[in-house]
Amino acid sequence: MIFSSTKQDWFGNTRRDLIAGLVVALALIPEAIAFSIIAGVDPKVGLYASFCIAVVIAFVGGRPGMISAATGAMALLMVSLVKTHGLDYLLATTVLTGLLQILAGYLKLGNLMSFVSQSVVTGFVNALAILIFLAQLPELTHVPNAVYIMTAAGLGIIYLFPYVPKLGKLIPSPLICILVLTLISQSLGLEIRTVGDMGTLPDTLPFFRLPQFPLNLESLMIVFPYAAALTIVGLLESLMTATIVDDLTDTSSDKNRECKGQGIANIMAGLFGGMAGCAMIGQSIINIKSGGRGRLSTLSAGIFLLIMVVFLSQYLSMIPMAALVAIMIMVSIGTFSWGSVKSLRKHPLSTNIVMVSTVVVVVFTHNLAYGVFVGVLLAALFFANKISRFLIVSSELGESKFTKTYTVRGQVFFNSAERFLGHFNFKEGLEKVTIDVSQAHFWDISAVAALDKVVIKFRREGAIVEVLGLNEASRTIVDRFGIADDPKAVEKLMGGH
Amino acid sequence: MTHPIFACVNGFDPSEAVCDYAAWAARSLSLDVRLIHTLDHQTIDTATSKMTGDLTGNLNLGERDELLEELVEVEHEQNRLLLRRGKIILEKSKRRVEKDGSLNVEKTLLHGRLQQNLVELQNEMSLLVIGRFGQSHQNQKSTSVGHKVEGVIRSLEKPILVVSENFQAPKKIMIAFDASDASMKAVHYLASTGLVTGSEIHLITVGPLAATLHPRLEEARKTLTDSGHKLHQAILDGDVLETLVNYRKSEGIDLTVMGAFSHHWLRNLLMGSMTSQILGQGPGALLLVR
Repeated sequence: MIFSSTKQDWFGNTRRDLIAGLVVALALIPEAIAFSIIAGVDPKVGLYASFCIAVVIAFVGGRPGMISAATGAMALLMVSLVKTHGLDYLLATTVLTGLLQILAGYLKLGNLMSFVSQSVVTGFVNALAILIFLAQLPELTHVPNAVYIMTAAGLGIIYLFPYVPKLGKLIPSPLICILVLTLISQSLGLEIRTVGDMGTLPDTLPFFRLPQFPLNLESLMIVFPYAAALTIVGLLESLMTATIVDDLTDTSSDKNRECKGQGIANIMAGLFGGMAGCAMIGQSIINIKSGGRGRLSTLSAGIFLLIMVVFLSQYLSMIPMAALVAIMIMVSIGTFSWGSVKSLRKHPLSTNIVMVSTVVVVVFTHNLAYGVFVGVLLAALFFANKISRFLIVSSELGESKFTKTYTVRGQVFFNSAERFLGHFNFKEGLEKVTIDVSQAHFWDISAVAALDKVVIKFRREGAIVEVLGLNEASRTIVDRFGIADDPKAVEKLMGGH
Repeated sequence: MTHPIFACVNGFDPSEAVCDYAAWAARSLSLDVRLIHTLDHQTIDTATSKMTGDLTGNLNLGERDELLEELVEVEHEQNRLLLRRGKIILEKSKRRVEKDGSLNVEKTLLHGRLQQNLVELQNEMSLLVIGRFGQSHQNQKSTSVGHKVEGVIRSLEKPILVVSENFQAPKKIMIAFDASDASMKAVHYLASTGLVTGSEIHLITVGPLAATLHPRLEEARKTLTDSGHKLHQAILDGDVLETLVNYRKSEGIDLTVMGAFSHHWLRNLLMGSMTSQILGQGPGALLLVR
């Protein structure tokens, strides 16, 4: 199952997939190095991770064409672990993360993505763009002027090169940016930071090595919290990226398979000396834009990455950081959803609050999981609040003026229970009160409790109370709703709507 | 002004008088009557606590639910009986108001405090008729005004007709005039509505009269005579309250009209005692205009 894929998945788009893979590999290198530095490990840890994850996910992932590798969101979570316990604990954590993600896949947690609304995804994407941009700032502060000039030149090349006739569309402009800036800095002998300054680049292929990790409860207790956080963030980012790729390519993906695939990829990364990673929005977009669609694009990205790193490392280390910074600024600008800023004015306030708070929480905590959690929670609350307005209570006095019939229509649940109570006038001296709830939906125990309260209040005032249609109304109490997949049952529930 | 006249009926002595006065006012003003009966829970709560009077302070398992159930049952029974009683009183009152004439009568039975209910409804009323004793005074007949009625008088902004035991169609009307804005309002109210058409009006001013009083007194006099009322005017000396009470007795006044000060706490405080003293023990009524 996990390895099943069609010929179309692999070879439906061979030429374009290979070219896109090359472009993505180039875009992966700076990030893999940069994120290794964020996490506090050698560049090779990130580069090996990116290779392993990209290659493995090409086979087992649920979303063809999506690029996974070492990511900043994950790197941010492991900083303190690396600082206090070292690399081997990180590798063990990576393996454990993979196991947890596979478990999540079997528990079908991918289906929970349906709770993540569009505004949360938009907020997440914007936050990620901001984080990527912020991650570049250390390279742009307290540096010689040459760096600024080089970065500006790099951005110029990236954005203007595509306008060069013929060549512009054939060769990816980030590649030109790297080539040109490297040549300039080498020929002028500029004293600026290069990739080589970031740490030693690997000169061998990754090899299998079990982490030197004491297998006891104590050490497990150390790594488990990190693994749990990495699991959640990794899956969130992967599944959201999958959603975005789904939208871009107008195809669908298997979210639960993606969970398991991410897990396998992380286990392999951990065993081959790499750090945990997940899907990358920026690189996935580059891949799609460059024409990559199939599994081959992901695989080739991983392989090209390794070839370049291992065999061309002496040239790679000459690349000035300014070139990579320019590329990452381009990625951050391209990832940010500028349309969402414009539509702030058009969208309802609640939607905007969800989006903006997702962004703010992510940017301030540097943890995507918190932001998404806040966004989902807010969206759910706003939704509950909206639905609670679908409640109408009408009343009619009887002939004698001392009887009254209340007719309740709409949704009664925890959030509308208070409003429901407010519709009844307990001041009227009534001998008999009839409450017709046959056209209402009682969604939870709060709703039933609210009705109880109404009945008790009227009874206390001396009235005789009759409730009509409670059976129909309370059928919606979903705990007894073991029928969610039964269309007939849903039909019955929707009766009259 | 098409709002009805509100009449509070409690089922005690003044209730019949309230009905009669309301019917009289409704006919004079060509308005409908709305009868109000309130079931005030404060009195009931005391009764309930007596019935479940367990002072051990001891709670058993599930006591809260049981207690709730018990209280609900007790109150249900009590209020059911009170409701029925209220309904009967309203029916009886309705028949009394409708007795002669073709008045429209509406019945309203409300839970809660009388004062609060009336305040909430005051935008729907044009005049309130209320007996001078509240519910709690049923057993202690006195010359005073019930404290609930006092509360109502203090908090409403509409004209209030406070009545005592027996109805007597007002023939001789006394306006206690002190040239204040409120008393001018009272004058205009009588002149502009048909409430006391064809009655004799006594415009009474008490106190050593300052010159500043004159313009308003003249205005009041003119307003009343212009509207076709037969007017007696007197300027008396002495203690205000005493003088008014005495004048009322000696002249056989059956309706006293006063401007009421709505926002002065001291005046408000005195309003109740003034009302009781002016009403005294005899028949008659007091109209307070704001």
